[in-house]
Amino acid sequence: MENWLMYAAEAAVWFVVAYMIAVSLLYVGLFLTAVPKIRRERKLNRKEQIEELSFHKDTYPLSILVPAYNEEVGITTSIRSLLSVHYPEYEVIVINDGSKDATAEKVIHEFAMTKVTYSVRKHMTTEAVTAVYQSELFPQLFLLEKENGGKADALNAGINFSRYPYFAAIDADSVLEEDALLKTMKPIIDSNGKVTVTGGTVRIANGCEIDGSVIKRISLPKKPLEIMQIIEYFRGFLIGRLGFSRANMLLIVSGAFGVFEKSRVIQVGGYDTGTVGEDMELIVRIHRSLRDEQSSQRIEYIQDPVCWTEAPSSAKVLRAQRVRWQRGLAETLFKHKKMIFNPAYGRLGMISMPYYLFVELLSAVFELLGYVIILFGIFYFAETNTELIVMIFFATVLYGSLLSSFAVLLEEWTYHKYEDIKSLYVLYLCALTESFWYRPLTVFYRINGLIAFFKKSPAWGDMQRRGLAGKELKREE
Amino acid sequence: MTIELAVWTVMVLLVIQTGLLVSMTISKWRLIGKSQRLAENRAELLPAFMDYISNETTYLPRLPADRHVKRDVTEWILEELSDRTSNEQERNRIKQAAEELLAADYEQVLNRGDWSARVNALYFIEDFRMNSLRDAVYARYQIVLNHDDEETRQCLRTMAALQDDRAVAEICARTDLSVQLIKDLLNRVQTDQLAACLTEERLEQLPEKTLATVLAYYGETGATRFLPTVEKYLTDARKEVRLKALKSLVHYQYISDPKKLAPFFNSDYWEERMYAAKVTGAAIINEHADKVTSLMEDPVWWVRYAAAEAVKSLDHGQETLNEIAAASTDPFARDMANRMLTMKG
Repeated sequence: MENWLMYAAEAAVWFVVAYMIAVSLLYVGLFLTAVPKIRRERKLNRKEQIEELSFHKDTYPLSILVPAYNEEVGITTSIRSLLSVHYPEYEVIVINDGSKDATAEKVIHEFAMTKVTYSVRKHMTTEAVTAVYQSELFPQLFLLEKENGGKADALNAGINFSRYPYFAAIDADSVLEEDALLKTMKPIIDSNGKVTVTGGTVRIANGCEIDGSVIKRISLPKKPLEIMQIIEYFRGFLIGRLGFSRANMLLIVSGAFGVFEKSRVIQVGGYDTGTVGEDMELIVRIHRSLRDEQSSQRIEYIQDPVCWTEAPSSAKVLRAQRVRWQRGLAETLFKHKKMIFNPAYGRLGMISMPYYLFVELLSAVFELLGYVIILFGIFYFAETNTELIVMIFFATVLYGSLLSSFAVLLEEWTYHKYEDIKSLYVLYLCALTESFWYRPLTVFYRINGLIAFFKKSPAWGDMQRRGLAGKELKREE
Repeated sequence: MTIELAVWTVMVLLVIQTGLLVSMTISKWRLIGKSQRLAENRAELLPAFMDYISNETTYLPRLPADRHVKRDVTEWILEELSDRTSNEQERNRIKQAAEELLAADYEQVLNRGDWSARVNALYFIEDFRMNSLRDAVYARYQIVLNHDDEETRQCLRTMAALQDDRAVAEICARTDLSVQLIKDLLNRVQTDQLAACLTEERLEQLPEKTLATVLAYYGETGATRFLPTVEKYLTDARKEVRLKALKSLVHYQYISDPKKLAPFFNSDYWEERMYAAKVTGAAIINEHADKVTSLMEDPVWWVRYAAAEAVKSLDHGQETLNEIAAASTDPFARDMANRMLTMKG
């Protein structure tokens, strides 16, 4: 019996080790795909690049959609940030999705909103819109009051109401850099509409000094949990997404900020209200439609950090977020399972979808297996087969800590947003600890997410907000 | 053996990363120092440059010896001063300073610099209107003309800004330029030069997209010399060209003979009906009030929206909208009239 267990454990070890090495190599491959572009554009004068777009008559007008559910703490900061972005012509549409708190009242009061009569096209069917308000102070600001239907439903209502040919979807807890829209629209304009969706890099604002609605000083938060999420974002955005974007295989444009061609989104039916991963699901559907039409349009990701968002500052909220993300990913992959390993979808079907299945979704299972083996090994085989434990331990360190510390170095090489040397060391050293606490923690949450997928429990992604502006820190838990 | 390999792999990676960390610490430390020195140099040299630009002295200030620092400081100061002044004489002095201090450096960068340095140089050559580099920019364009990237686009923009005729020739010859880029180039070329280059015969030979963009651009300039050309293309066989001619008229807020607009109210294309409404509103053509009012019952939302906006601009528009909101048998027209009556902007 013991022999059998031993063989099984050994096989499992080799499987997990091989998996982790393969994924690490894949990340290196993605990085190498992205590095020529990063290297080439590293010293480009970004201000000059977009200067002209800010007053050009042909810069496409844009609707900014802000779905909000119980966002009374941070909503006014976000709106103020949106009203101060540099862009020639845009409207801001806040969609209050039946909030139970004072989200609507705060917006109405703060921006002197008055009720207007509206005529809305019904591109997509949504829960009833009960009222529309327009600001007396900023005529380009609207508030839609609607019955609760979830984030996707709120976004669809915003699309129905919007006037302009492109829209940006932004989370209510995010702050945009002043030239975020110009940077994000540039690939669309330069490509003459060949780019149908662009996603920008999202960074974590926790710890930063925010004055009103503008990031004044970029600095690190104190809590290790928040710092680890910063590192995680580096890893995801700098290594993963740019590599996929270069090969037109990007499947995720962050829900926190992305710009979409409205007609394309309407053509594919808008956001899917049946999933909590509506952002990824929409991108997959757009990819499918482009592929079906043999269209030369593409989805692009810009590497510049353009959007700052509030990350969970407690384990409880982080858990809720990760459960939702994992469940959304699982739902999307399940819905589009026919694309996986389907040569008809080219690189998307053969590389991208399998990557999201085996690396982004199932890695939680494989990593959990790795941790179980380590613990099991310590108790049962510590004396007889140290090799097993040591091997998997090193694979875990390589897979978690070393890749993340590499992402920290990559950020420093490219954008070095954190101004002092101390921040670089704090980030680097925190990254090296990832495998020992943060990774197991998120693996546990992601397993919870998989369970939630099978149970199909409802969620809007309610998150306890502190608010990004200093003066809005009152509701701290 | 396997354990040894694993340990070695992780250790080697860790050592490499530590090396990278040390190297990045040093470069960050240098960067911080450089930024401080640049800030000091800028603050110190700005008054001297201001004296030169305002012609209080004929001598340019002594600049730091390091080539990169000298370039960074000069670029920053001249950009800053360009933003602050609209005085033609001062702008010429900025141009002179740029020619004297940066031209040789930029020529070298265009020949031997890396991609981002070349693109940055092109931005500044344009900003400071450095005519002495016209041929150097064209030579660079010849090398990159088949690339689809920012360098090619910026070469063309810079050529146009320097009033290089070869830029207009490229607009006419190339079929792969985006609408935005064509507009960027047209915006930079002086109107007289444009009128001389884009003769009636040459317009006839332009690719459809370029012609449509030129027509739209004519409207944006508001120059009446182009109006007959724009109106001529209202009867073109190509839909896109007609649409851009209509769009141009919206900018002109004028049409020489409102009868020319009449066929578009019944067009099979909703875009043409929409632009007919927009022109009616922009040019306040009261004789088309009935036609534009009937467009408020159009099946397409955009047409109804444009029609409602147009009605609002016409004489007695407010009353007409009130009547539609109260008595129209078409619920969509009522909705749109209500929206127009209550919404601003």
